[in-house]
Amino acid sequence: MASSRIDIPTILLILGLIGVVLGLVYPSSTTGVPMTGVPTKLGLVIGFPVPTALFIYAAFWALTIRKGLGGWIYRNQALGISLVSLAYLVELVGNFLTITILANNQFLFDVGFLLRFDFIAIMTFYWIDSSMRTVHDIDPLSRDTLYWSKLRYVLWVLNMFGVGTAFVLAAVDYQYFVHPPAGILGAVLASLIPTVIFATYLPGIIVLPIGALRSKDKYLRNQLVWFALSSFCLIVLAGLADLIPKIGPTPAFLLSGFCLYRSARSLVPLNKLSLDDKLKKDSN
Amino acid sequence: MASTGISSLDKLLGEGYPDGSTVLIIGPPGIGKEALGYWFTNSGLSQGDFSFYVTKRSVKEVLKDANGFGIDYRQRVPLWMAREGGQIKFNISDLTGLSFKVKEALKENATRRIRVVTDVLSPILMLNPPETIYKFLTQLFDDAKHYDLVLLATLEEGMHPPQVLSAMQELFDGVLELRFYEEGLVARPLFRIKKMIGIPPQPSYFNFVFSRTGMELSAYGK
Repeated sequence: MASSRIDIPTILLILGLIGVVLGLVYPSSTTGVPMTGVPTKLGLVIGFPVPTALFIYAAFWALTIRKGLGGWIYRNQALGISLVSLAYLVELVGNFLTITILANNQFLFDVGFLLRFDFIAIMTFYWIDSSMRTVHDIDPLSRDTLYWSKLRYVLWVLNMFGVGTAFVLAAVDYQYFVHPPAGILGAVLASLIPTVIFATYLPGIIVLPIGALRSKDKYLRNQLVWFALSSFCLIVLAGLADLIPKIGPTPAFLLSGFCLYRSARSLVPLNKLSLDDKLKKDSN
Repeated sequence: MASTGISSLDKLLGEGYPDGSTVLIIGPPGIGKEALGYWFTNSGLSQGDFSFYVTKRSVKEVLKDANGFGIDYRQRVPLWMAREGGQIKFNISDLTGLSFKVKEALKENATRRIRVVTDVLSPILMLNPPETIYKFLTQLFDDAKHYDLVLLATLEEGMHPPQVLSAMQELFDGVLELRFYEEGLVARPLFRIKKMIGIPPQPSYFNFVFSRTGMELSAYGK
């Protein structure tokens, strides 16, 4: 199996982590992206292109597997992983631009943040929805857990409501929304909208692992575990980077990109042809 | 011989699946195993055969899935034995009941050529003890010989231990395999006839692509 050998993303991850450690040893800015000297170049090389390559790799594998799949339910799930990879990539690019170019432009900073937030919120729910349908399809008893076939419509409306409200508020008065001290309503909305969006994920977060266990499908299990790790890395490590600026966002993106790549590769079992088969192919 | 409904596969098998044979289609979820069943059923319906579809899914779900492969069952309808929406309902945990209902349906249509397609093998293997499964399959295979029918069953890769997969492959007369192979930066879906009663072993792999008119097969490496 291919997973037993070191592939390009593993090498990228190792290189990236070495760079992160060097960046910690030689910090030269509070953002984690060094601004001058040799560590600067190293930080810029690792902090942006390496995670970018990992997210592109993840999206590429999800799409290449999707191309070979026959069932539309499974094709949608593969598309979901590629879209989430794209959303994380947009977040990475946005983060990089925020640190480097947009740091002094509050308007673009805030709107960029909201657009990225909305994009991730929609794509994540699309993946959850498509995965729930996959879990239903491979369930030995075809159980419609939590009546997902109907509940999904309600949750899509809620998700779109959360995303739409965030966007409209930002367009009307972004300062008011993004900076809650401006008013109580702003503070309430700022905490309510992410809560509504997270609430749409909750049934999926509960049911997906149960479904994977029921189906006994080890590939689906691996796919979900890697996806969960990817989200965990992005949310928790990025949050940690906010608390401890020295760490910077690079480790979060690096690990998240790698885990998403592993999740994409777990969509189906990828076998290797034997040497005999390859020789037969070459002789054809 | 019963046509598979896919001309390129008919050519490989020499006109189709042999009469009285049991064929297993093995592969990971989503690769398109069911599509082979849809075309086989559809081909049977167009030839006036009795086509019997036993599924763990609801008929509505099967129709939607089949439609994605260009099969429309609204014109000619097989006999559905399904969890929901079919002419016959069944409980997957009750293998005795399932066996009885299958037997009844076959008996009523014994004068016609019979084609049976099912996706319930994987759930049956997961939900029942080995002795019950063995008894059920022995009965089903006896019926296949008795009525000279062709049975097409799908089996999910990744949900069963390797010894169960091997045992199932031993039991069936024919085994078709659909799998993904990694080749550099390509995930290539390949098809192989692992074994088929009446024809010599065929070690060659074939690239396959689904279209709305069927499954296109081409020799791997060309």
